[in-house]
Amino acid sequence: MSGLILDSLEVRNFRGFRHLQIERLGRVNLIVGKNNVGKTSLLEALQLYAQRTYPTLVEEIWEQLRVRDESIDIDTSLRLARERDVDVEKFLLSLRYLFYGRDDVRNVPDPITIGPIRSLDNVLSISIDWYTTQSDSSEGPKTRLLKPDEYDKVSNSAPRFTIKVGKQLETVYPLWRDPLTTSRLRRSNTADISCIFIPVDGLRQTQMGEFWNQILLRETKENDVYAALRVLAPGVERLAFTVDPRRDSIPIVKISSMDEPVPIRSLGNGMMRVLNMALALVNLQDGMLLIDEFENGLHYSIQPDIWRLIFQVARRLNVQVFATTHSQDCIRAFTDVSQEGQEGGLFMRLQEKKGEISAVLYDMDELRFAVDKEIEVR
Amino acid sequence: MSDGVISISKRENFLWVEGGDDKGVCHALLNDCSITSSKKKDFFVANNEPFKIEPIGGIDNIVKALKTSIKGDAAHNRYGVVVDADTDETNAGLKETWRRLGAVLTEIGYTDIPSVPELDGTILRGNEDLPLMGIWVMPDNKLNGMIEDFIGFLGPQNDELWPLAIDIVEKVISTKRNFRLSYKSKAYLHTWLAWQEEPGQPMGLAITKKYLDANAEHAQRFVSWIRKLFELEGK
Repeated sequence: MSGLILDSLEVRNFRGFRHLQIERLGRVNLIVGKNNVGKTSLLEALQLYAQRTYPTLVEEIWEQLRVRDESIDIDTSLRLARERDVDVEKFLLSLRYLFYGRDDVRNVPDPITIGPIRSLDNVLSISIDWYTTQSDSSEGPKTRLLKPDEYDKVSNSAPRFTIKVGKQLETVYPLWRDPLTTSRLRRSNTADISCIFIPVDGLRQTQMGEFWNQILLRETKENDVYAALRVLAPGVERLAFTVDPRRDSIPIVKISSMDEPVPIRSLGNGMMRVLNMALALVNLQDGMLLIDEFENGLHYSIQPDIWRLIFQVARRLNVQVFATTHSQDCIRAFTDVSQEGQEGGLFMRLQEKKGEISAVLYDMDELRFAVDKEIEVR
Repeated sequence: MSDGVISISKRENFLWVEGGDDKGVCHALLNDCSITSSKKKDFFVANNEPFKIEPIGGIDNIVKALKTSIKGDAAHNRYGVVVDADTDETNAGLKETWRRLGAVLTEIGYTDIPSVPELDGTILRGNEDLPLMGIWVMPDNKLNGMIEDFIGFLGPQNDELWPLAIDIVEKVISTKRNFRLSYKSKAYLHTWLAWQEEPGQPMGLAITKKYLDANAEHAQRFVSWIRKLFELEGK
């Protein structure tokens, strides 16, 4: 078995996590916990960890804020501000949501750090600090990092992200990616870890079409996708995406019992969910798959088959999977498949006690026992 | 199984027993003293605190169940543990069972564990992180033995068959015996049950059919412990 991307996880100062430590991780990790305890935040932290280079990281930060309705409308703000200075305050107000305690980020918050516990060289650190540009020097403009209490006393000051990976790499990024001014910046994503996040409501149709095109004619990967679809609809023969310049392409399938192809969505939400997971998984190699609310749309009876497929493909492609759930059926299916001998499963619950969020890990014996005896683990 | 919100809240309180027979006994005793059985199978309601009777296995499984539950978000729950003291060659049954329970409860975080079980059943109050925890060691929190010994206390007064059953089992023991000596009380009881109006009824049904007395002092003490555990205020 190839090494895991993360064998453990430590997150500091990110959203609800002051200091979250998860001692060990598996290849396939199932996460439970009450509402508002940070399951989605954990997936978001992992996504930032994977997408650490510019402009991916900055885009991802704003995308995460946008999805949660915490972001200002960047494009409009920039367009309105084009004539005058950009209103930095507005951007900083949004960024408060990202940092633990939601304090005023003008005062230079403690950095967000995300990474494995015992390998400091791989820890990603995101901080906001202020700098000033002085152009009076004869050698051209010079930037100087400001002390925390200086930002409103020095002219020409501006905030930025400082990103570190371990102690090696330290880069500064702008707070937002202005499509007009930074589109020519080279996308230096060589250090990114491939990562796909499947939200509760699924991937965008266009994204799915791209994923399918990526693996077309790669028989093993195509077959993985078909195997997943056939768990729900055994008669599936072929999958394709429609091409219509005026509309998003939509996934359609030919089913043996029907003459004409039918849209996947017409076969139910479960089919779409399974297609999402399968396409994402086969498009990752040495990467991370993040699934928010695994069970969405899936009948309990087919969940073991889907888990089995995920365990197998994840091992083959060295993908690390993180999924959240609220469903006892999902936990049971996960436990059953682990017990069959699919290795690398890990189960944890996030819980909040006295304002502090922590992770409780269960080994598979304990989980089996709890599931059989109906002891609540969620 | 439903994943509904209601079933989650009703799954929080447990009365753990060793096996199906033990569950039957609890059912029969609770029914008799009008602790109401809810519509859901194996659920009972005492003072609006519903609890489920769950056969969980012997002391090894009890230890596992305690550890696993405490890992859960269990502080607001209530647990009752009904475990056999058992008997071994060195006669250390109750002592050893209590030692093992004490060890796991201490490990979990309880600090107020008495050195011997309380005669009316032990109840640990827990705290903001630990659930209310009740322990009943069969037969009576004092003797070595098992639930069959407890049932033995429920036989009718001046019953003529009971001495006969003991007599015949003792004779069998001295000539040809297939069972472990520590199961002697099982042999007494089931021999006696074989001679009732409907022979060979399980213990729970024998209570329901009034071959056994649910009002016997031991039965009443046990039911009072359950009542206290699930009706206590303030948790």
